[in-house]
Amino acid sequence: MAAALHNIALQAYYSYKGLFLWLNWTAYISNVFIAPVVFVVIVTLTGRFAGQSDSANAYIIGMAAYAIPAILSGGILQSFCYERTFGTLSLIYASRSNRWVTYWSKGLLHYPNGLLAAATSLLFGWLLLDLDFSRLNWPALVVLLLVISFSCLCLCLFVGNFSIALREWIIPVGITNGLLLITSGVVVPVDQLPGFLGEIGRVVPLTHGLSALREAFEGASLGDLVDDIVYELVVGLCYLLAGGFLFSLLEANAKRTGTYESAI
Amino acid sequence: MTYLHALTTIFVLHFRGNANLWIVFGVSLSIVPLIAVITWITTQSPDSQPIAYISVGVILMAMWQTCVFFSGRSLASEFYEGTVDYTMVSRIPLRVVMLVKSVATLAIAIPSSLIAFATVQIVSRELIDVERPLFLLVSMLVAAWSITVVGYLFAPLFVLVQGRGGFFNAFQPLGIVLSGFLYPISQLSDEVQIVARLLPTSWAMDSVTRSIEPGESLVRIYADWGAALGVSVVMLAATLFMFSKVENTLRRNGNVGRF
Repeated sequence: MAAALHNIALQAYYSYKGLFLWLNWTAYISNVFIAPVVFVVIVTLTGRFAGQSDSANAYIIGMAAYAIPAILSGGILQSFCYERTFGTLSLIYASRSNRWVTYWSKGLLHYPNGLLAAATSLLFGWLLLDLDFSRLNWPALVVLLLVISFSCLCLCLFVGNFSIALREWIIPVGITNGLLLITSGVVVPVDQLPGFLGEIGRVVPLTHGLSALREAFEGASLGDLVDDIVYELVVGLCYLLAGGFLFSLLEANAKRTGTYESAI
Repeated sequence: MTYLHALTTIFVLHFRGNANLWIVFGVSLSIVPLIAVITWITTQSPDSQPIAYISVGVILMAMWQTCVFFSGRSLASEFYEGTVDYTMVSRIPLRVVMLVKSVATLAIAIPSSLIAFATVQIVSRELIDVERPLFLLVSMLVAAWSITVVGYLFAPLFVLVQGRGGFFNAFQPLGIVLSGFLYPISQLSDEVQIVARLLPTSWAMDSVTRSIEPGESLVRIYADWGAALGVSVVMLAATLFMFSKVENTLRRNGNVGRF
């Protein structure tokens, strides 16, 4: 058991250290702390300019939650892509390691970054934009941030497979973040989205977690939010399983075609 | 004449090397969803002023996103690609080569700027009414020049601070906040407004909005142009100073291909 845990920790560390190129002070602070706060400010001030002061809290909470997939996708998708670009993908395919462990460990050390980005956004939402914490249910906030980070992590791991296949991570990051920003109710309520976008919103992570998060800021208890929390977890697990399956498919294809270095 | 030919070649090389569908798609993907939700927010207002404001603001925002990233990385790219040696020994100063590249980057930003504008029109379904079209045109040119100058500033800065991947991810949105591309900077706190006024783009954006809105004084527009160009000159001086530091360091250390 200890050896297995050590193996997971080692894989997570090497993947994070070697393939996450934002792991230097300027880039890390820019991406995890500054950029999420600035996006919160942009959306909230635009809302105020448009006379939507009443919606300020909803925008701040939405953008703070959106900071989670924004940083996770950037970090995880580049790790997947660089696995192929730097030539280490073939080593994974040749190794005897458990593929689920390899797959899951790629996101493990990115997980805290999502929490940090969201927490920083909420803190500065309070400091700069008067986010109202007076009725917040704090335990619910903690649980929801953990759950949202988990489900978004699963989505990013799933999309990471496309980064391997395409040898490109910026476009998949743009698509993932754009889709979540538009469809998950970060700014535009899901029920006001045109037909198919609303349907997409119901099957992506963040939607249910964010809805519950806004209710937690209105004082809802954990018991009131259990449905949304479970739904968010289930959505995350579905992406986790689908992503693991896709990861195996890429490997099977690489072995079938003899292209260890390229997956496809 | 030879000098002019060389400058044209730099422009064409940089433009052809970077202006491809993949880059336009990538830049557009990074801004279109944000523009769509921002536009949705402004459509909730009974007033048409916010929509008119962001209709032109998003064009400059797209230019900003492209210029800060591509101009900012242009000098560092010379190092990565091993061409800085040739640039250093050529008869055209490094700073001039990079300025031409920054202007070429502005041309690369045109398609994503048009996509940004179209996004606002599609989501809002409103066409803006411009009070002084000629003044708007000049104001947009002043704003484009201001953006070019800021992008140019990042070229030596990125090298001097030894920036790496992800460096620009905070500066890009920060510039949008401080330049007032999506709302007037009067929305910012007094202290932040002072910082915003150190950017030529904030003055240029003021002139753009004054050109759109009725009843604005022409003197104020001229003053905004003057302020934008004045701050640009100061910024250019700072940039040239940083370029001289980069060049001196390279010559002193003898590591032409490596900073």
